[in-house]
Amino acid sequence: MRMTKVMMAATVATVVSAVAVGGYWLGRARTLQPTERGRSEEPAAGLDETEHDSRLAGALGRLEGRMAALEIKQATATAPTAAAPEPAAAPPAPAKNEAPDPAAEEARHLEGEARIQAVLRAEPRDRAWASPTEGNLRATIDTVVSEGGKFAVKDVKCLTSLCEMVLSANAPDDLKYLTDQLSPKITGMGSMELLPPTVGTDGRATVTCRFFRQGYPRPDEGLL
Amino acid sequence: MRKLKLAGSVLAACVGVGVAAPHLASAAISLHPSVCVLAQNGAPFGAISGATYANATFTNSSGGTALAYCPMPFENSLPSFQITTTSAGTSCTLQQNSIGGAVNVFFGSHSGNSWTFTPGLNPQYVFQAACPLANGTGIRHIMNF
Repeated sequence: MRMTKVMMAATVATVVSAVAVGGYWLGRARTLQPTERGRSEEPAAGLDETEHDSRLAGALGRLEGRMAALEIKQATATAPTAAAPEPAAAPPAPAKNEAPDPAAEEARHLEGEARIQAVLRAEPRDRAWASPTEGNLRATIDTVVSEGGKFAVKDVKCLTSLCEMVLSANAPDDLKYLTDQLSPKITGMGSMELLPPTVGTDGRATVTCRFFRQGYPRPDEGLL
Repeated sequence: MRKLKLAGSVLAACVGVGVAAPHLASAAISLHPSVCVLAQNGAPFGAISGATYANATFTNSSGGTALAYCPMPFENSLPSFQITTTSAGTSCTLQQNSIGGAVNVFFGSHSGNSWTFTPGLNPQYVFQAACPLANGTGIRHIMNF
């Protein structure tokens, strides 16, 4: 009787394992990419011809779209005096595995910058956070300078969700390591952005640093 | 009858787990920290010797505190990065270059020895993690998930 129970348990375990392995392979087959399928399988025998045609039509449509985009780019490249149209809305991020389009990327970047500028113009000031945070940022720069940094705070302004700080230096090279010098010393922020330095006619360099408060969404979220 | 129902439920659960397992297994990209480089912890932040790699761990054996820079793999459908160190006493950041020469630094969140970043970014830029490491500490794991 005892032996029969053991055999029954063994049989059940074997059946369960077989079903689980079968399920695993079934799931794995479903996750194969189309390219992987192409390597290992013939086209599905039961593939509907209409579906096949619609896929071809879709691919043809995408190719035509890309050709049209290339023609537009070529036309704008050969006519530099033509004014570039204002981007009406942020272009969507490139789809998975799609090559980036430099023009679309630039438009997204400009849209992100416009959103940050809008916040800098209109956001109210959270005094309880802004004042001490400005003090902390100045103190952070003092610390970096005491460790060898060759720059000074020209201006710092905090609002509610972000701060903007302008640093100046005698030469652009003095700002070369700013990212690594500042990163470990910043606290209470979700992220920071360092814009490329600009050089004045006197050779002095300035850089704008933006600090985005922790827990607040960045104005340019999704557009970086 | 009850036993039959129980057996049916067990079989259904097994099929479900089997089907779901490949999906779960594919939802991350891991990178060995052997790709990290060790740099001086201060200007000019240049590469230094003293990094060792054993037991799948990148270790700062330079004799002093140094910076580890690790390239981060990025797959568009996997929005988060995680870097795990051997010690909680550090502060990793995620750096990203951007159009026109701007640099973004993400401070992320911290739990135990792991630092997680979800920057919500475009995929085509270069990402790297930067972690100051005391002598003898290191990086265990890098993941995009």
